[in-house]
Amino acid sequence: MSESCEKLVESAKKGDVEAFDKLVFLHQDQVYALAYRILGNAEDSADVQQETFIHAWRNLRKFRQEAQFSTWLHRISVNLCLSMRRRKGYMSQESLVEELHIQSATLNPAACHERAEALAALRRVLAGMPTHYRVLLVLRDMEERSFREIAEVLGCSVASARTRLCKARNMLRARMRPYIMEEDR
Amino acid sequence: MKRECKRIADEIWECARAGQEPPVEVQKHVADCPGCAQAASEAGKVLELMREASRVGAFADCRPAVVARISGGRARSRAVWAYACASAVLVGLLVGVFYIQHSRPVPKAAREAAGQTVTLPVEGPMADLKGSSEPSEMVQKHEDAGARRIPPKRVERTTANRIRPVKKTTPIQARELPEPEPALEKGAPATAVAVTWTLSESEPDDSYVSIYTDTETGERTICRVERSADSVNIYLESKPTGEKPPAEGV
Repeated sequence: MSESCEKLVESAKKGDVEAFDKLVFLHQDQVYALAYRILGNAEDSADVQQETFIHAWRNLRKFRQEAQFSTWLHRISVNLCLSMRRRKGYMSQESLVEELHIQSATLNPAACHERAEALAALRRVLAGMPTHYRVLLVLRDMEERSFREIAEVLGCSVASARTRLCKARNMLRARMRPYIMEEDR
Repeated sequence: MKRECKRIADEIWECARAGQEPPVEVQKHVADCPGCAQAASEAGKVLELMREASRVGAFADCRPAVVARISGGRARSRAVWAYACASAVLVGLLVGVFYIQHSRPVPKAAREAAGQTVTLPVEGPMADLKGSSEPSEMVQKHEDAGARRIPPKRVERTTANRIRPVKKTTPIQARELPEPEPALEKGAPATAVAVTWTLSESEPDDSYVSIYTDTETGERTICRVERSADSVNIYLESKPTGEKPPAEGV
């Protein structure tokens, strides 16, 4: 944890709202991105982002600064995402238009459409995977976290995180095979 | 998939994620194993898609909402505490007023009227069985206004009439009892006695029950007289208040 962040956490623990506001400013983009990658829905991700900081404020005294503040925040965020997924039981789908918009600058319309379909398929496959597999894939392959950090966020051992990630990757590859083959043709 | 192939597939994925070339041994394995070659190709494509999918759009700054909720929460918790304290004080006051109203001293006349008792000397079979001619203080309750006294001269003692020993019973509530009377300590105190004698023709055919309570010991005595065509059965039962009788007679 950086020195300034540590000081801010100390001040926030004493009830300094301004210090906590600065912490929110420093971490809100990461928290939102993580929530969005797990949930795939902007509105729910914004809810989780806000709830994460409210939970953090309420439980700040329990934070013993053994781990990084960001890791602790991500742990809260992941737990909130998991409960939201359980509660809503949805498979969120972003509009294909958004994907087309992302790729329109680099690809021709046909390629752009295929790409958007493949992305939508990936989202569907990820949404249909067991939640703990999806979280692992997001943390490692999208957010590029270290195994140690992943283990801290998920509250498991590094070895367990490695093993589960390997299984998750195999499952993702197998489920994506039809769409990738289609893309090749 | 073989175990070695699983390890290789994972290694290929990790290298593709990091944008590195796989080690030479892995490359050799991939060249020889069509399954791993396919896995490597798939991993690259899936990772590419995942990178695209990981792009996150713009989001609103959540700081104002978070700060507002935190501040609101503080104010709310202060209000909750204030309400809780006010409610506690109000409840305390109500309880106090209720207690004061219901604990006013009872007027003397009412107390005397409520505790009125009649002290009677014990006569008849009970006096004889206790072995003392002096009457003890017994309080007759108004449970049976029509109770009749039995003349002592009519009692005939038989072997069945003898005093039976008291069975020791476990008290329901541990409380200190007054010392027993010396007369009762000599033999076993009477707890249940049955007396039978022949009924003359002139005696009226009648049955009744009377209950006595000893104010000193708290002992309760039930006297049940049952008259049949040719005999009278008297059943005396003595027990502490609220307990079952330790013994029964016929």
